[in-house]
Amino acid sequence: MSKDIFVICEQRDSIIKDVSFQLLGAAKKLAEVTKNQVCAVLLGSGIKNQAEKLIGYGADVVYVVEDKNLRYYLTEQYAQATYQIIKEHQPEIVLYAATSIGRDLAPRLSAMLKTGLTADCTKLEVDEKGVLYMTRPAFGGNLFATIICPDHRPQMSTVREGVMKKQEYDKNRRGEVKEVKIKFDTAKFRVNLVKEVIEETHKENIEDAEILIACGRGVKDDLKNIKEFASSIGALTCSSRALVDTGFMPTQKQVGQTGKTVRPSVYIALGISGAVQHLAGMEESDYIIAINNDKEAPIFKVAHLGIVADAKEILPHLKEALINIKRNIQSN
Amino acid sequence: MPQITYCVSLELNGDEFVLRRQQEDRYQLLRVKPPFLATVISGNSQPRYMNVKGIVNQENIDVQKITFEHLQLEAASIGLKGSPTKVKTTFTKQHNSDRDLIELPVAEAANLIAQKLSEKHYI
Repeated sequence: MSKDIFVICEQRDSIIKDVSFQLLGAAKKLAEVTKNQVCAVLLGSGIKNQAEKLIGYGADVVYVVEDKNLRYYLTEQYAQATYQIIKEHQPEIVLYAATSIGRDLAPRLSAMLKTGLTADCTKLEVDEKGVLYMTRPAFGGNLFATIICPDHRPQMSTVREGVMKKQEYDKNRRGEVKEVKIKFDTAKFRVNLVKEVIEETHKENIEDAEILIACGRGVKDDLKNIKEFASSIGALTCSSRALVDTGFMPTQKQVGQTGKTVRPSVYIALGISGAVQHLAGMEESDYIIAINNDKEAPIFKVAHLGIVADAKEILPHLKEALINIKRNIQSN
Repeated sequence: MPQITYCVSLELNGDEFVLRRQQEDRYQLLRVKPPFLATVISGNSQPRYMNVKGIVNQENIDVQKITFEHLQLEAASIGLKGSPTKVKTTFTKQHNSDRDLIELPVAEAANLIAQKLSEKHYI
């Protein structure tokens, strides 16, 4: 039995998603303790040429399945392919992305393999014996639980995008790409894809933003101004749950326990009180600025710079101040 | 049994169902013949009000109860005992205290933010 660490990579339209590189970064750290290999599993159609990229981000071996049955994500097709690879190589640990694909695939695999699965982990650690300690938030983020899977293998976990850090890409890194053929049981393909439609409005991905301006209940009447301000400094807007539930912001912009996890360089929270559920989605940001008129707001506990003020009033001044600073930088 | 997760709509079309599965930046339309298992995104449909006839009839309807005995499952394979994963420890979060909390007039506060952002080369 190998003791390898497997990462089930995710691709869309033959482009590997960033979360896969983040998972490889996490797997690499675990492998440094267990002294085993990191293996990436890449499934799709027309993706073979991307396999080298996974090596640059930390994979020692890449198992590629190139098959027209895997052109689009469908549960049964992907489950069969993943199952056959895991069965053959018997890894010790398998990591999935906690995306709509990973959250669909991983439970199916855990049932097929008769093993455990810990969803939405925020921290992964391993001891020399290869026991994986999977930490995840429970009860709305107030409590953290560390989970183990003592008697079943592989130990499996899903991790959200933005939680783990990818390694720096190393183009000189060496590894092996192995192409694998899968014997599909097509009689089990009972779900047929009619069409897959990409929605343009969803393209603004807050997980990729360097600067995020988060809007809470306190600024619900100023969203238009904030959006203009954000685009003037190359930032994207996001939101707390309050504004999504009331329809002021779209779901894809929601940060927190039931929304997305983000880790931008700068997170500016405007009029957000900072419920634990929200904090869970943003507290790993590099630099957090919070502006709120309630001095006791929990957002200030995670903020690096907290300003007690009305976010609405500060906005025009901030705009001006940033323009001035930029002008100074340019003139120097 | 096939599974279709993250559904936002479901329609019957002849002997097949057509489901819309929502993903991050796209949706899929899927065709499937029953039986299948679908999970639906919460808050996606509004429950209708109870109707009067239903309220009146509720007394007369015998609700079938399914218990552990009916399911014929092994006790060791379900519940806490049957779970392959175990809770090792739990803890609550500690926040570090290396933070600045500042009360200033808005114009000065704005300048301070801009200055911090520029010091740290974020802009």
